[in-house]
Amino acid sequence: MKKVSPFKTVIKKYYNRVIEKMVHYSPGISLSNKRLKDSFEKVAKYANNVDQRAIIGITSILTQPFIDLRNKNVDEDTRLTSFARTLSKLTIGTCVGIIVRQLCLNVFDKKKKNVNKLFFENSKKNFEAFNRYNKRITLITALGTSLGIIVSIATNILIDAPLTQVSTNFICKKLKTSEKGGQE
Amino acid sequence: MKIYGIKLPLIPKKINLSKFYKLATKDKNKMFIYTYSIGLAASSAAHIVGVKRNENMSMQEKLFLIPQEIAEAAINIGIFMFLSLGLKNYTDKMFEYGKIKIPEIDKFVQKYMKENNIKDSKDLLKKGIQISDILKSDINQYIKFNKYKNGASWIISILGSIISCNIITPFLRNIIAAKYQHKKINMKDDKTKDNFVSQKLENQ
Repeated sequence: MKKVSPFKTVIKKYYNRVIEKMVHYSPGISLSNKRLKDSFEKVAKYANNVDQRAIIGITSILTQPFIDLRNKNVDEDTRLTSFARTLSKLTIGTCVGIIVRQLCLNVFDKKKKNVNKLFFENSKKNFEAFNRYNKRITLITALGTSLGIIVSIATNILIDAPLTQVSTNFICKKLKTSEKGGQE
Repeated sequence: MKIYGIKLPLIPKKINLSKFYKLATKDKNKMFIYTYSIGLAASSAAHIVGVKRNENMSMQEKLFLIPQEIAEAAINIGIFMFLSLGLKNYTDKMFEYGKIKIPEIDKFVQKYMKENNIKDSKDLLKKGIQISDILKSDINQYIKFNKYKNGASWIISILGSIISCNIITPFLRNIIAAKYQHKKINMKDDKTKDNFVSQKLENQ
């Protein structure tokens, strides 16, 4: 028999219980707004890993560097370097991440389209067929994500990290010289 | 696998795709956490090496930036698991237990409740009856329901990720890294003071 750690089961149990309690005490909502329903439908149909990376990446560029710039727990030089590094890391990481994910998705895109065609053009739809279709789609997505992870590890080492250092040094130099000029 | 007579337990003899299939189709959340954690750890390691090798940065800056990177990865994984996935699970359950009602699907749920003598929709949660189980007989409604549910939980999990990874994590990682930097600088100052005093004593 497979051993399951008691720590894990306890955490899982309480985690689920907390969420169920939250659901229990939440007020009921009726989803009657057509626009909202359509947008949910569109998101479920079209949204993918690339969109997720893009949304999180762009919002991170807009927030994280400025949080670093307002960090008053460190000296001025460290603050500027940290700002420059976060800005360049996130910008380069987001661009490379989006390209890598898109390329990896494209590898499996044809297969996904075939599976979609097979299910939605079939007149005999039943629960079992849907389950099979769902499993195939999730497996293809998982393969795409795993390939993306392997490729992104390589790009992180070969492209992201070196480019981030070059860009950080460049931004740092500019920021520090402009500050010294301002002081003079 | 053996290399020069040394056993390497980490490398499997054969890559077992059935395990991968099981993980990908049954435990989507686990799969997501694994891939996210591996990606984050690899990226962090690459950036730490980059900072360590950067000759244009002072020692003081490195003392802040390296723990900042480590703290970011650790906090991101933890907070992502609880907040982002928690919000996703919460949204899924809000749909599954009928807290978020969809008028055209609610008719089927009401019918099922009448047939099974369930008076209140709150009892669905108590009895553990999920709407997707009720809709299994009508595949078109089931697909529709899943679309709404997946769309909503995708949006909510993105919102959770933005709050956790882009707002909470940077604040926490900065506090942790600054504390580490101060501690290390104070330790160095104490050592230099000690050296200075001992040198003075020797000279006397």
